[in-house]
Amino acid sequence: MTSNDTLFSAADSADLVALARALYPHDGLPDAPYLRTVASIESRASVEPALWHTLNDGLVELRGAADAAPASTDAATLQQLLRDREGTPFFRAIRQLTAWYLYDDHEVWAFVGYPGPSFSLGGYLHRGFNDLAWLPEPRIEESGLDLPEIGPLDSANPTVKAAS
Amino acid sequence: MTQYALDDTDVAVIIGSGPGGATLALQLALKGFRIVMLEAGPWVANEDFVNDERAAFDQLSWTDPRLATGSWALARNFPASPAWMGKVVGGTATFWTGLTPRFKNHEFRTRSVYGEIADASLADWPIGIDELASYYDRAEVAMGTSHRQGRPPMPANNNYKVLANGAERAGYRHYATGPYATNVEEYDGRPGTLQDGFCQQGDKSRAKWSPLVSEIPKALATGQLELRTNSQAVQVTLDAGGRADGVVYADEHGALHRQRAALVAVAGNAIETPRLLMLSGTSAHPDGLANSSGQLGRNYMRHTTGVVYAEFDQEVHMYRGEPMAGIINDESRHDPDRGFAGGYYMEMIAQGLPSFTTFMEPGGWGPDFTAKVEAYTRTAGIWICGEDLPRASNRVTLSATLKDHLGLAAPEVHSDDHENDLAMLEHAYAQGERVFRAAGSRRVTRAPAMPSGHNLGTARMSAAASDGVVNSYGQTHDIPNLFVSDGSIFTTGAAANPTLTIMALVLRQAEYITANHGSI
Repeated sequence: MTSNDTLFSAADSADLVALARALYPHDGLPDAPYLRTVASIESRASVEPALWHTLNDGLVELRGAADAAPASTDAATLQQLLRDREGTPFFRAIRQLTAWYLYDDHEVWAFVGYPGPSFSLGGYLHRGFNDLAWLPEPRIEESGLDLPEIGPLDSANPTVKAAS
Repeated sequence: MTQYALDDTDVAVIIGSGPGGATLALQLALKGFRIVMLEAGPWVANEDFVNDERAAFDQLSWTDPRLATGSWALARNFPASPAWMGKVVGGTATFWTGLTPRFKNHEFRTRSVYGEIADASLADWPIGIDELASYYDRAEVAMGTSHRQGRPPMPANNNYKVLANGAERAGYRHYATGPYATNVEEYDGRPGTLQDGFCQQGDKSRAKWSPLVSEIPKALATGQLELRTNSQAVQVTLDAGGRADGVVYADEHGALHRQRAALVAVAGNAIETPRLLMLSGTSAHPDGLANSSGQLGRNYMRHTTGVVYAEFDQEVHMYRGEPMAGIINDESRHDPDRGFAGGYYMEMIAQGLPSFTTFMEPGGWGPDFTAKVEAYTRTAGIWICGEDLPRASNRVTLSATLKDHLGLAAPEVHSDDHENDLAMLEHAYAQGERVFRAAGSRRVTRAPAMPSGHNLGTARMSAAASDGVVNSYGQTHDIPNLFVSDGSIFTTGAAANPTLTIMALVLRQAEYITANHGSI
């Protein structure tokens, strides 16, 4: 956070990281993606005055309301503090930006199991696009039966009623 | 590339290079018309597409200011971005999904078949399935859509196996992997699919049909078309006699130019098309061009939609393979016993992790949310696509406060859900859940509408000039040499994904222009 350290102190960053993890907790996910997420948020706030103001204002208010700094507070307590602030501009900003950057982080992709682009690898044509084996192979052609355009499905093709 | 002069008065100017504009350009070019096409966005070659959802969104999407109002979920969840459209050569079809069902016969006659429905502006189209059948055939050939015109079916990917097995067990019979406008095998000079799973970020392989890989290069090859990119139309001008005589557009630096024209066709999608005609209003046409009916911008439709996601115990990997090559048709019929008019399709959907986390539960957070995220590889999805009812009060207007980068009034898109739409959506959510539970899902999630890719109805087609903006050929009732060539002209929305029908209507329009241009 080199260029932003006049805007966000180390304590600010640590609190934002704790809030990011409280918002989107993933057991086993290292700190690195959360640190990168907060760095991206701070970078954006460093050129968007309104965002900086919102984050700074929200952090000050949250610290005043909490017994300890967010970085020293357990996740469940932080989540309650966040829930109490769901309608605030601070909450909306930090939630939206944390989700935006965290789930665009490739370490998070790998953690969840999303491999990202496949074109350079030849797609999945020969890499398992159809490797699901826990269900029978379904028909891919159209049924050949007539589908009524108006009215119920016919008796050989029972009407499907709304789930009860 | 062929170039025309700004003062060439004999050119046809086509605004927009999506499926409507590009189809018209190719057909007229083949008949020897001289054509200038204005595209607000850049040319992005297939190899330059970025298979990353966030980067691709920035690269391809129309991100100019917009404002959504009304009771629809999009006004709450994505108020500045209620629609997802392309600003790129090929238009929204550069990242479309590709299902191409035809309309049903009665979907052209909804006022007659559904009857009077309060708070809806249902109307019959001035054209029917019989007049469109041959154009549907040609559109399917042009797109090379699977399951049609001798093209083979798309093979089943993992996500489809879940959808189809669930459908079968739920008692549905009318499911398949298409019709789907992507090559299964080589066709029309383009390769078969790699099943790379990223066509919603632009298809690098060219297997998926879009104007960028078909109509645009074919039209350019005739030598009759000049394509001007980064050229955003800001006004259609009229001569003293009230005929369209040119288009003013802004180049990438914001400098204005005026291209003279013998004919103008607007194909900017159902938000930008009425906006442009409104922005073109004059002292003689204060409510916008071609708006003597007062219908311009009204009857905005975007389909009744939502998503059902379902978690399974075992792996699905929905991101592998064609993202929407699967459809269940059984509920697409009109069956008022279900408690609503019209029908809906259940369509397979797959998303990458960034989109999944954005749309699965907008605004969601906390441990319950992240548990769903961690089930991503075991998740399958159904996208609901149903007929929404037109309402005169659902409309695109010019904002009194919001401006775009040129200082022009941004569009406001107002939409209130009709109770019929809500009843259909509830039924569709329940049936989607039923399909997935039948396939073995233990947890299902109902997600609200994503920003609309289907935007329809704001320059409604009508037989009488008092009832709509254009006739059955997309020719405006008020200005004979001004045409609309996109989904704006739909009288009602039907349940089907609209692109095939847009192309069919424009193929018919092109024949009409060719046959009548001496007298238009």
